[in-house]
Amino acid sequence: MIRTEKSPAQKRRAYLLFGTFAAAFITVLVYLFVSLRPLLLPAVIGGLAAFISKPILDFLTKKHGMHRELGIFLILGLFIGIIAVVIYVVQSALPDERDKLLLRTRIQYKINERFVSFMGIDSTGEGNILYNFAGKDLAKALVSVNAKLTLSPHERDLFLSYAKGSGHNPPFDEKFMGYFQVNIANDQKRLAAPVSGDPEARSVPSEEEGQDAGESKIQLLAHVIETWILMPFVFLFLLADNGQIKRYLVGFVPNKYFEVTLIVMDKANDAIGNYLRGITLECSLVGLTFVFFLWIIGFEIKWAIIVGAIAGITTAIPIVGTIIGFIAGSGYAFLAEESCSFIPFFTANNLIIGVVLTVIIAHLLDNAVFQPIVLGGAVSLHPLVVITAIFGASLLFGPIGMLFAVPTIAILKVFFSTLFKELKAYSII
Amino acid sequence: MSSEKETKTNNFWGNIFSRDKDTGAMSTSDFLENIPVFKELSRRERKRVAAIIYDRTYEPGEFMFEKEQPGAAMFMIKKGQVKIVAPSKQGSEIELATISDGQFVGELALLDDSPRSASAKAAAPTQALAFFRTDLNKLLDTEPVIASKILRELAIIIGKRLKATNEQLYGKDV
Repeated sequence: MIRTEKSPAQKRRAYLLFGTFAAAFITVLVYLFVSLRPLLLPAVIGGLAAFISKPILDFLTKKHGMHRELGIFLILGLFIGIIAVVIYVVQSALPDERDKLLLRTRIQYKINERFVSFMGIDSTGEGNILYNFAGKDLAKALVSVNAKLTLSPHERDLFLSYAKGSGHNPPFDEKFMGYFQVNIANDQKRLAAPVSGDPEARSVPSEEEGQDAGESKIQLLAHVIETWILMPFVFLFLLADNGQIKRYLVGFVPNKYFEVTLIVMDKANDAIGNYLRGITLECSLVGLTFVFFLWIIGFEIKWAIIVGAIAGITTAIPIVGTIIGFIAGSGYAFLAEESCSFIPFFTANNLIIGVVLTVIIAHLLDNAVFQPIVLGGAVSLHPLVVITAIFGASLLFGPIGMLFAVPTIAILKVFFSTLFKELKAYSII
Repeated sequence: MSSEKETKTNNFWGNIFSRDKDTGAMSTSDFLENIPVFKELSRRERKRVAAIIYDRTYEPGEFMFEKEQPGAAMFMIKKGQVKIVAPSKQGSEIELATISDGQFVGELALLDDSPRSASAKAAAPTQALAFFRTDLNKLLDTEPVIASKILRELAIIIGKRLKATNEQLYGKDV
């Protein structure tokens, strides 16, 4: 049915109506964006995963003749499988109560031991030049860290009961009992020391602080499911969409901007798709480099994978990503009691050198090989923009904001540069 | 008008997998049978193309595209009338041709984004279909058989027009 030409009064009414609805729609959208912020991340991840997986679906269905529905469920299965593996690896790496107590004891012992060795503190209490320069400030910080790590009386009892071994848990190694006793002796010294400026430093954790709140785990799980259940749905529906959403939205574009809108959408879609697939590949390659080299220098394979995953994911944050990879790797190196290195030079005591080398190799490979090949410098951002985006996003959205800051800025840059170029070409601006 | 809106809504919210049952796409697919560029396509292939074509409605006086703008899509007139116009040296519009139901315009945009040689302006309320070069290029990657049939027909049409232009310029002896 073709409409007859509208009168100026009809046009005015139409503009007023659409203007009112647009303003109401934007207000509701802003309100929902603020209120439903926790759902934003699962929706964004689901959407990005669908966006990245589209070419795989096209490859399976169009080039290999696979039924579209089958292709979608195959990719969905793969997506859920990857999530399940990630959850399993993370969960198996998370310490239970017994491991937590042991870990805190080991960290406390190692921190004090490394501090003494690094500062060259001898039996008389004198240290090296570094100790003379910054030792007192660092010692204060160390007292605060000790206060956080110290086991409460209840936890000490638990530690001792676990130390004997129970059920399928073997008893603790003798050296850990040694660490436990050294820590207790240090705690007693700390409590007996003259009052420092920080009252927290003199404290011992209360009984409540030392115990896990059992009921909150179920609440936490329910909250996680409630929030993240959205992700597979977003992934499924965006992957299954065969251009219907785009066609629906384009239906609202005035005729004057119809061609230019489609051109901008297509060009931006291609550029953003290439960038996102490139950055996913780059993160994977950096992660694999970390896993390989950490395993070679003597990391347990499980921890090499975890540190590699952290380093890989955070590669999306330029500069900061390398630092986070280094911190994660050196955390393991710091606590390692033994190493099974393929290179005889590396032992548990100098594992940190291996971590530094791994970070340097991964960083060089990333800059010299991965980035030029997979990203091709398509989206280059000024370092100042990168730094501002990272810190701004971390203030607004926390660590997750940091992770998505640079890809978001890159996407916006591609979108707006394409938009302005095409608007000029169509003499609209 | 309300049924048109309803179809659009169903396209979006309806069963996302049942695109073959899309009644809007079916009528577009039937229409494509009469467009020379798509005449070699099978029914299934026309349905596939119909799914990537955009429906547009133009009021009289509205431009489909304007001279010197980069070409992006070919337009097929489903119903209505469109005048092909170019500005004269005096600033007024010279009418070059009038196209109506079942005819198409701007087919060179399917080959590259060179500027349009004239403007297309709706002379009456017009329903048109737009087929984009970027979608044709994607078809080349994903369904090369369909894309090559379309490009072959396009080459034939352009060849015929070139011959006709030569005849007009130099007479039938050329």
